[in-house]
Amino acid sequence: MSWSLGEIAALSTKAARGAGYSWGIAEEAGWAVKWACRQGLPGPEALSSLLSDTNGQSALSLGVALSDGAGFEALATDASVSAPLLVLPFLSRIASGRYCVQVQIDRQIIHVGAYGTDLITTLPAKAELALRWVEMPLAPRKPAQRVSRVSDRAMATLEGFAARTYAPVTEESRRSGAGAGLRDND
Amino acid sequence: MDGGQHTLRRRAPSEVMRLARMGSFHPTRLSFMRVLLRRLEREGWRVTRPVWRIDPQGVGHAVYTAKGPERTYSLVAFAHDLPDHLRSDRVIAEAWDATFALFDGVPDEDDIERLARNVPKQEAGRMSGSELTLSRANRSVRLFAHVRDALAAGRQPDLDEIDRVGYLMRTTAVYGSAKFGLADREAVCARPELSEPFQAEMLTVWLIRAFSVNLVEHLAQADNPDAARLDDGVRQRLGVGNSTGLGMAPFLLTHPVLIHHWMVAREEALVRVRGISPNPGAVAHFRRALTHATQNAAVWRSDHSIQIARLEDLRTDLTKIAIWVEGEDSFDWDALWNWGCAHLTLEGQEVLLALMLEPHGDLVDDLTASMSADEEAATRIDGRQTVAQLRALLAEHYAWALSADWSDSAARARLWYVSAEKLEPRLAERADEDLDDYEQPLGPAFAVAAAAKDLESWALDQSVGAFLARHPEHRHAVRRVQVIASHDYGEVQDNTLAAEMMPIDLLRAKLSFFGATRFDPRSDRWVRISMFQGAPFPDQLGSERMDAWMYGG
Repeated sequence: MSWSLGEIAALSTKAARGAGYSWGIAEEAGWAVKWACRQGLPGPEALSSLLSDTNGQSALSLGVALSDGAGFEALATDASVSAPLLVLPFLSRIASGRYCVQVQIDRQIIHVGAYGTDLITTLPAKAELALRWVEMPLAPRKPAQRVSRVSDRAMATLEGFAARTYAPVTEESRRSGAGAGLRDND
Repeated sequence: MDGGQHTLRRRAPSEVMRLARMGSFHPTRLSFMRVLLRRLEREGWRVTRPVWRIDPQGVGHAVYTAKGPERTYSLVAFAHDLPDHLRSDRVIAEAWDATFALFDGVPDEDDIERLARNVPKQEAGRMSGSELTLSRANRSVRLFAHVRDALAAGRQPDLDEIDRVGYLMRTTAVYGSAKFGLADREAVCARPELSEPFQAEMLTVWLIRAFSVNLVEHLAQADNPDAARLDDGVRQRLGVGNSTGLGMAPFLLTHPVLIHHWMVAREEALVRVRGISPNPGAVAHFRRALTHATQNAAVWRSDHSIQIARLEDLRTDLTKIAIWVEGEDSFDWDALWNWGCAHLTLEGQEVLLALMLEPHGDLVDDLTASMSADEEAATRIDGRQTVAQLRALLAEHYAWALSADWSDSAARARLWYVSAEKLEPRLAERADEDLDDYEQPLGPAFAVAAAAKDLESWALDQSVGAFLARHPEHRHAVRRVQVIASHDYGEVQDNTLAAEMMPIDLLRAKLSFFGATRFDPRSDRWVRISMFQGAPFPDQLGSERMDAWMYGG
């Protein structure tokens, strides 16, 4: 079984919204997870972890701030970042052809350029980050076109949050909310 | 263009992107069904039916294979025995007369076995990257039985019955683009045959049409081995119906970049044609198209009061156009167009647009290549933009939204939401149901107005990034404004939450780009249409008549 990038992105957007982020931020979550999946990285697992544990600085909030033009000072100095994997897509947005962002996560060093990252495994669910610019070309990786693995737990978590965006069923809404009637047949 | 003429301009978004006009759109030669058939003909595609394993009860499966110069696509069709009382066109249905998937290539037995386990379940099944579309169709109970019985009796069916319904089967959803595990568009859009919008979906529906005819003939034969087959002239009158409602409506609101490209292509085509004078051949072609449209308008039926009124407008205006053209030996398109703007209803103007494009494929067909877009590229917010710049964009593109009276409850009478029941999109009256927590972001006018209000107190030299850091709730709206700034035909310039808003206006606009005809609303949010009605069939590829069906030729 595999998933399309589109359905993972849509689920991620709904999950972030269900967890309480505004629609605008939720859309960024969907895009960020899709970016991670294209890089072959476990985006859904990272989002699941972020939404489940709200301690620490949210990678989403940090990523959005960086993408919107805040400098690296947006990184809180006294808090770990929750789901640091999801900061990487936003770093890719602010990188350019020549400059990439060097990211120190605990003791690991990876890079994020305009076309992707050299990270090939995953990152811890929470970590202290340090960011700096380096002048270094980073070759793009061939993007994955499917998501071949998502942990059952992450899937269940995301679907659980997404379900919060669906209105409960009522007879009234079933009757009048859509369609021409319950039986539309000729 | 003649150097002496003034420069023609496209109609502005403020004129075109209005629900009343969009709800009057007619299909044109730029419609995606036309794009498909022109390509299949031009590139020498051929369709075969390598598998037909359907039993005398109409249960089983079939495979239709469309082979192009480089690639092959296969419609895998599953026919079921559906009891009448279970037949429903709603998203919440769980069983259908037939279910389908469009397979990328030629499926082997393992593929078919996997599809047999999943396709009949539709949304509850899983698709793989080898499938491009997933769909289902129900029979028109009355017409299907009538045609079957007639053929079994050795005769052709009654043409009035055929025209009254117009299809043997109607699809109730055609999913593509990554849903339920289907292939992402980005995985296949570099292929020329899939680069234009909705080509996989259109191919799917065209092959379903062939299947529906094969199925009724097969069942007639099961009743009587000497049964007749449908004459070419009769089967051509059959399209594939489609029954759709709110599931499709959000599309025009959630894809502003794409809609912008579609609208620009259409408006650019109009401008190009307005810039020339038709030669006698083009005038003759126009007259044939006008006749065809007039005949179509005569048989186009609806029981809905809105559509009945529109059809009256259409018929009246087609007559007026005929009179205008009759009196002229030669004319400029622009003269006709300007007269039309002054004397025709919205229906008349939009059908006139379609008719004017018909003779000029050489001039406008290349525009379909510009109708696709990289939607993701446009989504990044420019946080460095200043408040001053953002407010200027608001003034330029959203004055219509900012000036509305949002304190009036009628302005936000509606609420779009998704039901937990099979994730069916629905529209509620805000005052009647307590659904605010579940509201979907489908009211851009209000969202933008709300953002503008909070923006008022911000200094002009502040950054949008700083504004959004304080107001994350406005992020969706601000992104939209920035997108629309470079895609100004992408916004519907009407309030989609208003009490009097009709979702069918959104549906008709999108369906006109598909090439759908016989728009027949059943309520303000549910519609029946016909697809490929009058079009050739796959066995007619190579006849060089693959583009003459929508408005004659």
